[in-house]
Amino acid sequence: MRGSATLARRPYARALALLALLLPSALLLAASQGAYPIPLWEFPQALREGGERAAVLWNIRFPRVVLAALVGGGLAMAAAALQGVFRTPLVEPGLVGMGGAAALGALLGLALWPSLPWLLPLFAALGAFALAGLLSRLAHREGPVLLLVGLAAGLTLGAVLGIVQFMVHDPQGRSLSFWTSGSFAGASWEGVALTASLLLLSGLALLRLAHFLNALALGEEEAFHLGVSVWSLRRWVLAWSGLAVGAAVAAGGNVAFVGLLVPWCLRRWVGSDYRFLLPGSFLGGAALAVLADLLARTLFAPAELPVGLLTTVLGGPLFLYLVLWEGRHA
Amino acid sequence: MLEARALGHARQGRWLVEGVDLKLPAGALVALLGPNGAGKSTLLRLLSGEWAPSRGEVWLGGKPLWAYTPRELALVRAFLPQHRGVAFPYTAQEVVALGRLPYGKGPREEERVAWALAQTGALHLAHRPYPSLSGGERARVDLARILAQETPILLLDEPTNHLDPKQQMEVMALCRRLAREGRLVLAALHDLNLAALFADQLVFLKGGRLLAQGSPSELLRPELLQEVYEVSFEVVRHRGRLLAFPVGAD
Repeated sequence: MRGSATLARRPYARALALLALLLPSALLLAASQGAYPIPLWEFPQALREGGERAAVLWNIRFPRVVLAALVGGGLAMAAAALQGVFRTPLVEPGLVGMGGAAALGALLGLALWPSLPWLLPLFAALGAFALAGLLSRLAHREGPVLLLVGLAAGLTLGAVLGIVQFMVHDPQGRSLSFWTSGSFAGASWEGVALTASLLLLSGLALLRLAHFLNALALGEEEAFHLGVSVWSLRRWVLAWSGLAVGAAVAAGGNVAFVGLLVPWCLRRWVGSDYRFLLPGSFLGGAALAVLADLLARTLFAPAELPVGLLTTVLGGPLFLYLVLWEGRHA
Repeated sequence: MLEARALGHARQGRWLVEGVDLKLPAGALVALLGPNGAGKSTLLRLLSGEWAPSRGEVWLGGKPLWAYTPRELALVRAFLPQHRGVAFPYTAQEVVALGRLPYGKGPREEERVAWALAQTGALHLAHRPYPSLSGGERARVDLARILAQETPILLLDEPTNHLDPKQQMEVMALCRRLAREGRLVLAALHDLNLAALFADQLVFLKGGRLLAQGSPSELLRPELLQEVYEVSFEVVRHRGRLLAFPVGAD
């Protein structure tokens, strides 16, 4: 019997290709729109000519949309990995307090070494990792306990953040709303480079652990029986996703619910294999954040909405749905 | 092949398994029997290396179990737990493919997955999301995952749970076939007669202690069964087979 002929693959490759097309389209669209619209087809000419339009594109639009993509992608990728460790689709860095912990870590970095901005993401990563480690001690409990503890931690950290914000002088003058709702205003190429390299590092590391994360979906005991060193896997996944959350939050603040929406949609419509889900979440989260940022800065232009508000409008109802209906099967 | 030496395991001051000496040979289907709480699951978890013993050791292939890495263990023994679930909507085929994890990415992966699914009569379920399967369908997919691991030792905690009589017979026949190929299959079971029909050896546990190990014809005796289950048994011979049934407490 030729068994392999009867098995089919899920459309993982096709979905990745589609997402890989979606992202550059979103990036170009977002780069062309704004308070000063520059049609897409005039990009080459504008960049060749130099002058004001080139400056807008090079110094403002391009770094901004790329940073938005990195932050959204990093948060979604980290969320997918964390969901694997906690074995529930309800975990998202912002929702379980990791985002707040990362922001607090970043502020601590600012307070201690204000002249070393590249330390920020590392301090943020430490904050996120510390909180994730704390939560992972609760991972054996039922899902709701984890969520409630995460929520309580998130609220507390948010309040502490508000207080600390007053005491720390931020040379970039970022406000509390940057940390809690996210913003990509004032993006720079240095920030993009730093964030991209950290995310690349954590993304590659997580991808190497992807198949083990699949095994973890069966349960920790079953993963062990399949040869996974569960304890060490958990620690590394938490560390690398902590780094991704730290890099994302330090660069763009907490863009809420991207990490909930994107992996959920991908699991629902494509499949759960982490070898697909991690890169897929990155691409999907990146596109979503770019489009959300586009809306945030154009809806009420010249005023800007915090980008997290828009993702929350989409993600909040989904979260409710997950808790009320799908949570039962999780 | 697999050997327990003075094996004991205590949780919160209570001994779940105590002083168990057990030698399990390759090429045999061994049924692990005993009342609820006898320590069957605990013994399986100790033999699989998932739990570390509080006393004694488990030996496998000339080495104690603690000297194996998780991956080395996964290449020699597979374990089917009693309570199973998958957190996300993987397809049955993806779940079974996880059985190939200890081998890394091999060229034969799909072939072995299809073979395993076919063995448990679950090939037609390959594309279905695991969470949408019924209890019986899940049981067969889970068993296929264990088979895909292709280990010389299979430890099965109630593999016939959720299965109808026909499927139970099929699973037991499969276990016996695997044993004939030279593997050790150790299955915790509740159905005495199913065990007696298929198993080469029975192992009776009670209160965490080993009560008896032997062939079905040696062990299917009313006195022993009464001692194990604390209920009177009658054993009759029907068409050359021993049948045991409880006849009431006294």
